[in-house]
Amino acid sequence: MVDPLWQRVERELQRTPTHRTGIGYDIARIAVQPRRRLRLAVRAFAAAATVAALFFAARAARPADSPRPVQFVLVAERAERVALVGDFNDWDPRATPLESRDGIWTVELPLAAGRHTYAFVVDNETWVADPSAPRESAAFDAPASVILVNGT
Amino acid sequence: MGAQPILVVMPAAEPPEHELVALARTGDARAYGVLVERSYARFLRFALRMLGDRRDAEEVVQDTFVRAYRALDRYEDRDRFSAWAFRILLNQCRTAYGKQRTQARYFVASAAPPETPVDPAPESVWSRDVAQALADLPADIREALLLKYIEEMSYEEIADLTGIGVSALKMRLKRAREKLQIRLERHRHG
Repeated sequence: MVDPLWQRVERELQRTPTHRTGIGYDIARIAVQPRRRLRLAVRAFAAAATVAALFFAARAARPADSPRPVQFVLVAERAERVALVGDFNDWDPRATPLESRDGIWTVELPLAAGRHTYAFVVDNETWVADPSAPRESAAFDAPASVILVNGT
Repeated sequence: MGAQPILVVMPAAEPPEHELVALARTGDARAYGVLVERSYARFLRFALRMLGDRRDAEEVVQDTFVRAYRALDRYEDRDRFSAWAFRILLNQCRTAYGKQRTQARYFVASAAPPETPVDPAPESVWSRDVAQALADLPADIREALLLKYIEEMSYEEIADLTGIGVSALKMRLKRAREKLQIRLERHRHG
C-alpha cells in the first residue's frame, strides 16, 4: 500500500505545465532553418517572439488550419454539473460547462487542427474520460481521452 | 435511451511517426512541428522539475528539439522519436544544471523572480515545498527520481540512461523518497 503522502507527491510531480499553443511549430520553424549558431537562434527567437508569433500566425492561417467546431457529448443522467476540460482550455473546469437536456450533456466548441486531450469533470469532483474515445495514457493521474481534429 | 455516449468528431488522420520523420528530414517544418508538439509538454515538465526555472527549462527544451532535428540523420526507427529525443533532453538538462551551479556562485541562490513563478501554477505552499525539496536533492538523485516517478521508467531503463546500477538505484531512490516524505510530512493531513 503506497503512502498517501507519496501519492500526492507523485501527482504533484506529474502535473503538466501550461504552455503556449503552437510553440512546437515555432520551434520546428527555427530548427529547419539553415545552420546558424544555436545561441543566436534562441536569443533572436526570444527577442522577436511576439512579432514572430503574429507573423507566423498570419501566414499559417489558411482555411485548412482554422479551428473546426467539435461537439462533445456525455450521457450522465444523475449529474448536476458537467464540464469539459482539456489542453485547449488549460484543464479549467470553469471554462467550458456542458448543457443538459434530459441527462444528455453537450457542448460545441472550435478546436484547432491537431491532437487534443480532454476529459469530463462531473459535479466538480469526478474525472471521466470519454468512454467512446481513445485513451490517453497518464495525463496527470486522471483519465483522459484523445481527439484528432482534421487539419488537411 | 441507451447509456452509450455519442461523440461527433471530425474524421482525422495523423500521419504515422515514420512518415513525419521522413517529411521532417526533407525540411518540412510542419511535419517536424507535429513531432515537437506531441512531446513538448512532457519535455517541459521534466526540464522544469529538473532545473526549477521556467526560462531555463524552456530554453533547454527548445535546444533539444533543434538539436534533435539536426541529428535526424542519425535517428533510426528502432526507438520512438520521443524516446530518442528524450535522451538529448537529458543531456541538455545536465549541461544546463552544470551552468546553473556555476552561476549560483555569483548570484543569489536560484529563487525564481516574482514575474516568472515556477510552474505549474497555481503557486501554493504545497507546490513550493515540493519544488524546494526537489531542488535540495543532489542532481543525480533528482534526475533518477524524476525518471522513475514522472517518466515512469523501469529501473533497467533508468540504469541504462544514468549509468547507475539497478540495486544502487533502488537504494538511493528509496532514501530519496524517505527524505522527501520527511521534508513534506507537515502536509500529510492538509
